[in-house]
Amino acid sequence: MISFTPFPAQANRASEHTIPNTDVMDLDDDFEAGGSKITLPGETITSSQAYMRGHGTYVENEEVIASVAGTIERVNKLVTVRAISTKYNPEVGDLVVGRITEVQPRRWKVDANSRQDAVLMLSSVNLPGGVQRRKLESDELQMRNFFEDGDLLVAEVQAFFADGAMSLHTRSLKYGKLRNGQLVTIPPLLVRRLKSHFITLPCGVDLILGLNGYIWVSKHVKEHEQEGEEGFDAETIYSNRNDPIDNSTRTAISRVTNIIRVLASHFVPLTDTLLLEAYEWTVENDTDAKGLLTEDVGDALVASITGRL
Amino acid sequence: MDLQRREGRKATEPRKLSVNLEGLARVDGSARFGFGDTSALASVSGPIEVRLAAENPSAATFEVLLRPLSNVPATQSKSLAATIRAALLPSLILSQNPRTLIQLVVQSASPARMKSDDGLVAAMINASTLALLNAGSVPMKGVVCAVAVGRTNSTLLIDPGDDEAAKLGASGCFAFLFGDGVDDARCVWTNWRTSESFDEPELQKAQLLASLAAKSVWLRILRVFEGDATLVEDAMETS
Repeated sequence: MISFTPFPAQANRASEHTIPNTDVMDLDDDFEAGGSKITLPGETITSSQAYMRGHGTYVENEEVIASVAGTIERVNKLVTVRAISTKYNPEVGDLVVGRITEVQPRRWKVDANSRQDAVLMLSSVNLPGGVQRRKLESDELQMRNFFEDGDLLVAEVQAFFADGAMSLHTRSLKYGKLRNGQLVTIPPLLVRRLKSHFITLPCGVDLILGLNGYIWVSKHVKEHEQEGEEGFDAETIYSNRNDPIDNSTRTAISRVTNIIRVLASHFVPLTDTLLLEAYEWTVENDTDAKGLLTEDVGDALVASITGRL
Repeated sequence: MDLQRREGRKATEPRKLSVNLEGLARVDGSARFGFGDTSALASVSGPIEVRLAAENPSAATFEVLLRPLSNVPATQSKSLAATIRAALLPSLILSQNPRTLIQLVVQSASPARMKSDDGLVAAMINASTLALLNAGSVPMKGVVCAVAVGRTNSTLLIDPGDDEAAKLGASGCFAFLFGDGVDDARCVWTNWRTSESFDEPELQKAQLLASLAAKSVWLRILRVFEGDATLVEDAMETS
């Protein structure tokens, strides 16, 4: 039964992405939810012969029963219960932003806003001197030259361990250590799965939307200036020093950061178009980064951009 | 049943229930539950990494730690923690997260009135259930709700208050597992004890009375989560 769930779950996400709240509407049509949409664990939702069980449910005596407190959702024949508050649930292939918490033998522990710390193996990072190079004993001894406690990085979820902890990898030139910017944390629910999680805004700001709710806002790096391919020297990819950032870029970065904070506090899911509109709004209204955080300006921003959509 | 109780309570009525989802920062779920002045705070973390010694290859390890109001946890706290664990265990589906730890920490937020305070135990069990529901990370089969029952002069009282607790001839705490709705309650644990003669019909009567009071606790818990959901939905609609 479990093996079926990933595919419909994807469909669920896709429908959420294009038209929000469709699934809730479906439910109102013809689903015997018994009045209230809130359910506590143990409540029978429906028969397991007519419906498939999704997350937050289990099957007993041919009945689909809720196993968490939350709202019942249904997409076609798949019934799920979405828990009221959830931490980030990683899936293979997800892009996450994380912070190194510990250096251990041949691995780093990474805080990725999940229940357990993620693991980044030494064998799943790009080592200086070539993409194809294998790890050596000397690399194990100088792991702190690559990532140190407190460093931020962007990575992809590669696999899971037996205990459910995720294993990350940074074996791509797009992934690796983060610099030239700042981190914003928002509820993971508000980051939708997008075609690309690397977004470049025309105001000279790059965004990395980690699916775990960590968002990295940084100075734009031009395509041809990106470290990598033939150059690929350790000095730059594992550097701890920021490039020079001019004042206008600094302002733009803090403006984008504060826009994200405002949107998150109003529970608005992030998309690149929404961010762009919000940025234009702040420029039009001549709002500085600091002023954005006042309540009335934030309300006005959210009202204007959500109204335009 | 025409006994006068404080605050004009009926014999079948618990003290005022207070429920609060605390939102402690470093845990997955937390909640405070109180019967009148007797209250407890519980927090849940998990599934998290488990110590190698406690690792179970086929199911999650469920650990209950109990902190008394003052002093360090001693034998009594350990025994109470084991009790609470036993009461909650039937409601958890641990087989879905093998090799992990689910850690429940219960902090008593009011002093125990005597050697074993059934009201406090009931508050702890209810707070733990709420914290587990709030976390939403552990699959559950049902919701465990508990209430205390006492007997004075052959009258059974639900949730004896401070003034009544001293003169009880018999007392105990009953925990019920609510499965499919409010009418599907099953007693999962009790510690009914008496200093006088013990008889089975009375135990059954006490259990029946407790199950009715536990329903009001269950409904209260449901209402808390319904309120929570409408808040989130409101935010969704305004966005």
